[in-house]
Amino acid sequence: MPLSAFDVIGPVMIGPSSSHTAGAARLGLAARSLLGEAPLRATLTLHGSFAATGLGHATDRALVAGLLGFAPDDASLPRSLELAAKAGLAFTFAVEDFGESAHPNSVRIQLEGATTSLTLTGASLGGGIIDISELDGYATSFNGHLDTLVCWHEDKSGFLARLTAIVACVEANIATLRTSRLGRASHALTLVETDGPLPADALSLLSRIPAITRLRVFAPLP
Amino acid sequence: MNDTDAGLSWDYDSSKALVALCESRGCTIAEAALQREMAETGKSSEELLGRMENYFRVMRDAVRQGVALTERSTSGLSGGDAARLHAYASGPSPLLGPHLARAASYGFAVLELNAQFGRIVATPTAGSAGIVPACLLTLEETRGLTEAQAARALFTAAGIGLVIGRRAPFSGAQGGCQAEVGSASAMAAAAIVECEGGTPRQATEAAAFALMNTLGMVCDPIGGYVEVPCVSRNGMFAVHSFLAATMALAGTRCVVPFDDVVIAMRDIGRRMPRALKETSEAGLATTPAGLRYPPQPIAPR
Repeated sequence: MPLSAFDVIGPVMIGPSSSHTAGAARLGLAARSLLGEAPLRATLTLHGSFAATGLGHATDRALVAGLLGFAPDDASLPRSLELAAKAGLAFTFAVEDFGESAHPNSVRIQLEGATTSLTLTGASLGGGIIDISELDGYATSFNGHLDTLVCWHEDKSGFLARLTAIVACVEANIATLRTSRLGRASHALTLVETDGPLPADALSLLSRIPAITRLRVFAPLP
Repeated sequence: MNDTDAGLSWDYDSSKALVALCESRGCTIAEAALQREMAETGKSSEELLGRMENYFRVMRDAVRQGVALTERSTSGLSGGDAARLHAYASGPSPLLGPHLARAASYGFAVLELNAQFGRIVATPTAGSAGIVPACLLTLEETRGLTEAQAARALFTAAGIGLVIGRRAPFSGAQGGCQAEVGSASAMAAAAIVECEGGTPRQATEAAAFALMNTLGMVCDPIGGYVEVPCVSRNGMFAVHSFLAATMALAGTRCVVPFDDVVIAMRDIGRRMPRALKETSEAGLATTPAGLRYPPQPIAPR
């Protein structure tokens, strides 16, 4: 459901398809933002219409453009496959049926950087709007419209109280908050969307919560 | 009314509510949509209108680049027809005057550029990105529409688009072409009416006429490319939007209210077979001519 006038008018993008090109670029960008460093290796597994009509829609080029940090309206997007080599990114494409319930425009992105790696599954819903439905095995849902904070952490009592206390202290407003876990007293993922960026001192405090194993913040996707 | 009044809600979930909001506050749909965006984002009207003005300039650039295209797209399905139409419009005796063919050429132009990896504004989608720009550029030429007025007109279009988006999808994969080109036409028709000084009620009537007369339109693009029928359809439905606006400005009334036309569009989209919703498994895509351009899958590599 579009909430902003700019969901209806926009994005400014390189053609030909808002779902297969602009949305694909945003999925790549989201993956790069979550990795938090330049990706060195990527495996992109395509499902449904992404796989079936992807070449004509430049879905492959758009995904790689996003991984390189290009916005959906970057004029370099059509040349991303060539530019990836220069940026030191090796990529492979695979095709897989994710099942009946998967959105037709779905992709699984496995990324490796110099220090870390991640796997996400996302879909392009139309009009350039995306949804990330899975991150490192955790069920989630976010679209990159707002400032986003992602914490990989141990599933310990009081974790959310600490996190929200810090956010409250800097007078930031939480728009959404979701915690998912793999099992009781195991590992968990908490995703927080805020109205506006969190100040640096809040991030410094958050990084001192002992249960947190990894922390990422990123601005709204272009 | 440049600052959001914290005591007033500017949210709306139907065109009925939107028109009531406009009539009670004596404002246009453009102003209501702008106020809603200000309330939702906390940003100033200057910033939001500036962003829309920038979008309008991207649209204008896309039209200018598109009418100058002479090369065919990678698929070979499109390219050069915007220039043909534009030349015909500037000829000695264009049918119905120069503006009909020129408006159509602008719709063609954006989609031809889109097919050649050019920069466009999805309005509301890339496959329907030619209609609103074609209409606004035509108003700029024929009615002296300024960039500032065009930015407001884009808020009119967004206001109508949000009403649609609250109830129905915009993507051809979910709703067929009626969801893309139908929505774009409704948005453009309402924007034209407000540019011409029509009331919010008339703008909504225009949107209803525009959308009503796209119902049932399927998405069966050849080879899965956003080219045939998309390029010509954007040209033709730019003209359709002007006609819907003309009817509303003349005072004709649509029997079915816009909100119900949206529901009908959603219902038809749900009942439309999957083969006719952006899968290229039927319709134009499987005609002998269409089959010469099969979809290009991404091969594992």
